[in-house]
Amino acid sequence: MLEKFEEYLGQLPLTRAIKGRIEEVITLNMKIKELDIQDIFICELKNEEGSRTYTSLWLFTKRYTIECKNFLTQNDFDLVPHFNRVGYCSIAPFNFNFDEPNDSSSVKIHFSYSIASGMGGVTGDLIATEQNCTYALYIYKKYIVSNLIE
Amino acid sequence: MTLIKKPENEIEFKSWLKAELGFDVNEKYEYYFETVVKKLKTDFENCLFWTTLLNELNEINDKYFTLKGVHLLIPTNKPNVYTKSLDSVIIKAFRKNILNNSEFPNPPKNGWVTPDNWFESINDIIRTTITVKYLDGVEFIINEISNLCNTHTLNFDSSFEAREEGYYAAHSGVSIPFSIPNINFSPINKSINIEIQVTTQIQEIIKTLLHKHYEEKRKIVLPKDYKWQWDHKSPEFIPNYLGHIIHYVEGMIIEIRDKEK
Repeated sequence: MLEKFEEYLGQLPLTRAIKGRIEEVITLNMKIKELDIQDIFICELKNEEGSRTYTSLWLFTKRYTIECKNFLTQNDFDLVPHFNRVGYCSIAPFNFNFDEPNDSSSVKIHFSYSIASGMGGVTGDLIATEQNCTYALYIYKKYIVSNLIE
Repeated sequence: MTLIKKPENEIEFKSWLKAELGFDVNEKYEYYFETVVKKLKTDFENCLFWTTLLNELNEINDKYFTLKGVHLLIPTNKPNVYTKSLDSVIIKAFRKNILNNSEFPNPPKNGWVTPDNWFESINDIIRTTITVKYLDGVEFIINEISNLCNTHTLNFDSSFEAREEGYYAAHSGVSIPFSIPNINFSPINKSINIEIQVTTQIQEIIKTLLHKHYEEKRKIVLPKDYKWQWDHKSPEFIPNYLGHIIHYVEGMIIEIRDKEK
């Protein structure tokens, strides 16, 4: 199941335990709704000890965005339609010029759905470090900026 | 008939070893010992089991995280491989042959520990310690190492020590075949036990602080009916109870952590 996302997953230092959990979470979501997942994104940050902490796993289809919160330790998924519904978004890069990230690069992305879309108050946050910043930018453009309400 | 004098310290033990068993631990032997130990350390550090275990630690940490929601290992704390000095080996042989040998002047149950066999019979000439954050991580790691040994078809043994003296630690050993030089520097194959201790961060701190205490204590024979628990001024009282208290606190930490979940 993860073959489709191999290129992305290969850029992160993920262990078999984490990959196994990602697969499990995707399988669970597929049981709720048949989804054609186009992209996945893993929120991660480096803690003081230098190890990575993984927070949310995001699944993106053409129509839906799914957040699997604290996916390593719990099953807590939400699903929202995203087409033309984003009311506000922001991106805050650190040591990242949107080209080549380095070891100290990080990025924070925040977005909220518009009140007009009927999903006022629903927000999302993506965080990434190092190589994952490039992918966060890709997700930002493809699923957030392109869905800003006109 | 001559009466064999029981050695009272490691210096007398060295003389006894030479006079009674014919092993002269001289400068030449010291050089030989150092050579063997260095080779064992290097060979172990490069062996497939150890390199795989080091790589697997991240995997083990993440596996624990998915189960408990907290990290088990300290990323900056990579386990090092340590060797026992010849002096420490002699102290251990003195303890096994003399201090703890109720059969003396006859050999102990498993025979004399001598330079001829101590690379195999002393189980911590090469050793390492894996430090974990939580008490339940000790058994978790031991099980993972056991699985890894099965994969590599290596013999593995473990024990969870809980002594009246407040000493708590998991000792495990993996038996690995190595080629080492004999005293004439010809290669021989021997199966050497590598000790892998698994302990918690807090116990590790206490162990470091109390190391000297335990080393000294091992050399002294206390009267059989001595009750350190009733002698608050004895050197044992504080360190021993500290060991018990910390073990209890570490258990409580797990309780609180799991209740929070």
